[in-house]
Amino acid sequence: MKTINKYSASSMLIHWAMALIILSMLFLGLSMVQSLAVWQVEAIALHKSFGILALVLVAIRLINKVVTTSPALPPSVPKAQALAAHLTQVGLYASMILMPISGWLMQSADGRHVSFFGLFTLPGLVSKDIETYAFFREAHGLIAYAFLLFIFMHVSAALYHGLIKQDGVLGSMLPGKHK
Amino acid sequence: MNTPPVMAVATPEAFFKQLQALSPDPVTKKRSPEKIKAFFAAHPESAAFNNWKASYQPTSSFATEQYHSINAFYLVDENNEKHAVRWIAKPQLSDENIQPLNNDSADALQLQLKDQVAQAPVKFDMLFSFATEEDDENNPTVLWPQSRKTINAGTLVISSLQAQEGGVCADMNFDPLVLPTGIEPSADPILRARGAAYAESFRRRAKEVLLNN
Repeated sequence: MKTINKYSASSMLIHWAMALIILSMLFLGLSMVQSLAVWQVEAIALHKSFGILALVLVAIRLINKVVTTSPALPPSVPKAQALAAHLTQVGLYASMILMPISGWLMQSADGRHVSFFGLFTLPGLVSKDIETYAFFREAHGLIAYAFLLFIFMHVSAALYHGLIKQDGVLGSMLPGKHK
Repeated sequence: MNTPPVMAVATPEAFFKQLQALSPDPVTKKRSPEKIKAFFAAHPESAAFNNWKASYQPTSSFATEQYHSINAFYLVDENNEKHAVRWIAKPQLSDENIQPLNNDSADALQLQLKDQVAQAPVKFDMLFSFATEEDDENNPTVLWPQSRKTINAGTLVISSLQAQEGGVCADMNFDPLVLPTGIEPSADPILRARGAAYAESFRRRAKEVLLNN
């Protein structure tokens, strides 16, 4: 098999687009639930709309991951680090999938609509029930903190490879001629 | 909806200070009249609220009380134009023609409403008042003049009631920002703060229900 050292253009596009959406969503989400500001109503509408977009993007991303080849970590990476990288990636993918789904479920359990920029509305997934709402509301918040932890590990590792090891791992997700 | 027609303050920050001023001292369990006086002196926008409070006489029934939207909302017409409104639920019954109040019961008002509804549905006229350019729909502390165009938009009819515990309202988050098509929230900072505050209290209540069952 031909060895590759870069992600495909489609993988890079979806990685960076989702990075932008996910970081904006996490910080918007965590701040809007503690805010009494006048923009809170519009913030929630945006959060729901971008949540649907993130759910669609993660589905496309999973298909993209199957049909494209990801570059392997260089052999210089110790086994424990490779395992940590793998677990972080599993955590990131799990968070990407569970974040929008728990949000959709908590809204359904509270009998509320999730609208995509006013164009269409998602169907309810569960019937209205306060305990179901409590479960998914708390899950949505806890997954957000876990997600931030995985992102922190992911970014730290990427910077470690790019700035200290300079072994091409960071460059594999950057456009242009990086090693 | 609530009994006062206006708020005492216009922002969540000032409302927080109002609640602090009205809170009893944690040790003596008594309110501090000096603190309350100082708060209202520092907030002259509370004049309309205090005027209302000075002349307010509670009725002897939920069915005869008048309720106000307090905050303003927009009605959107067929040309997509927004009209700022406040509304009143005006009772059709008055204290002279209602069931007697059992003053010995802690649930006197609830029981009376039950008796009243058993006799005939309790009705309210929904009166919508329209703001003019002189009115600031984003300020809930100022009364709009009586002369504003007012329409009777319909009748609210209470034909049955159920106990709060285990009833359909018990597990509901009352959020005045969940609105039907054609009604939109104004930018009133107090109205805008209500959704988030009620969402937080509903979240805590839901968590309690989940963990205690």
